[in-house]
Amino acid sequence: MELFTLDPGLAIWTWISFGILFFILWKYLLPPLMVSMKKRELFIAESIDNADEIKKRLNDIKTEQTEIIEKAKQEADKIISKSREDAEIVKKKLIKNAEKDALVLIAQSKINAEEERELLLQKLQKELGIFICEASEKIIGTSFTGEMDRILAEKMAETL
Amino acid sequence: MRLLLRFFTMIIPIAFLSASFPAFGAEENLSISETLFKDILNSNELKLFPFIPPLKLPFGVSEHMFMLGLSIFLILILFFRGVKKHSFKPRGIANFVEIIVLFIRDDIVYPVMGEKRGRHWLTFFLSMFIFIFTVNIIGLIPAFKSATGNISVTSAMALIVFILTFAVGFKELGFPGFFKNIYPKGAGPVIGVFVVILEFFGYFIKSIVLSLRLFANMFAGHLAILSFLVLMFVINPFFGFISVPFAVFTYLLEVLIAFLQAFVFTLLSCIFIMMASTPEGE
Repeated sequence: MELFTLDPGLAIWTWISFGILFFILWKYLLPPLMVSMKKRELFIAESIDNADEIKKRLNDIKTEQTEIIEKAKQEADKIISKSREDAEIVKKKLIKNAEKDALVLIAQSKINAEEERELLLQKLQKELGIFICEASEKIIGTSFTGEMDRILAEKMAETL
Repeated sequence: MRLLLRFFTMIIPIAFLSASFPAFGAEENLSISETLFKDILNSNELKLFPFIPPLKLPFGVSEHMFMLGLSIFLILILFFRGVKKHSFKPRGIANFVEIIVLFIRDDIVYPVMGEKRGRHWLTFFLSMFIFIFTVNIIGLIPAFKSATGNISVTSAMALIVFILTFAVGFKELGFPGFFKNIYPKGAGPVIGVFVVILEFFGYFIKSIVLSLRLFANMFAGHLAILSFLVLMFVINPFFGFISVPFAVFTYLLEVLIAFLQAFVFTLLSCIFIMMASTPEGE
């Protein structure tokens, strides 16, 4: 049957065709293609490596950043606590000074008040003496003059 | 997509019918089966266009030889253009060529042979795959013929694999090592020799099966398409409403088979060569 009959000519032609194809691909076409593909594969591998390195560096920078922030926070906390302590000291000092000043002011005010009272008292005595003299003059109908006025006024003041 | 479907549903059946029209005439006095086989089998006349007298090929060149030559020509054009246009970011043909190379390398050769050995064999298996695939596909163009539908072509390809299986086996393991490799461990001399002979025939049968599988698939595919179309002449012209869609479906299936058979042939060849050249247990 023709269907299963082997044709040696066609078989040889198949080998020749396949041989030509294989030879041209092997000698001329595949090497440049493979070189080009290899170059790209290397480039991609290199890019992946670089990306990994960049990622690693980025992680390092992030860790460093976190450490710096942590350090800064600690320093800030230290500064704040020291400031608070200083402020407390200053506050205490100010309060102490204020209390001292207040005591001085109170004492001064007391002295001033005493002096004022003395002065007022003297003035009142004088006014009272004058009033009594004037009242006595009216009662006795004569006026005190000279030495007598002075003695009377003094006596009045003393009794008061 | 719609345009593509229209092409398949209209152009292909018309081309097939036109190509086979004179054969169904009375002048040749052929039966339907004879006409079918005549359309598939090899001949010295090239009938590419319907209603145009067939071209007698010179120097004893047959239609299948012409198809093989055409396939090689098309592959080389494709690869020349692909390699020429190949750049860091390949596009179009260059990208297509690279996809084929990567497919053969990463899905057939490297997984079976490993990277070190595979690198030496890549060109061979790439040539084998692209050769068989192109020859298969060319047969699907209306009025063209598939040379892989001829047992001489598939046998020639299988013979290359058969010879290489032994050549590589002898080279890698040595002549006694090759037979020692297929000699069962712990077996007596009679059984041992019997098994070696069986194994030897095994390689032979594997190659025959390799050849028959490709031939039968391609031949049967074309026969199925033509058979569906012939039903119109045998039963009723209106039967074309059923048989043409079936023929188109089979045609689309044939595209898949063309690829699948090239893949299977290449993969099995790779496995056979690898098996024969690898020491037992490795």
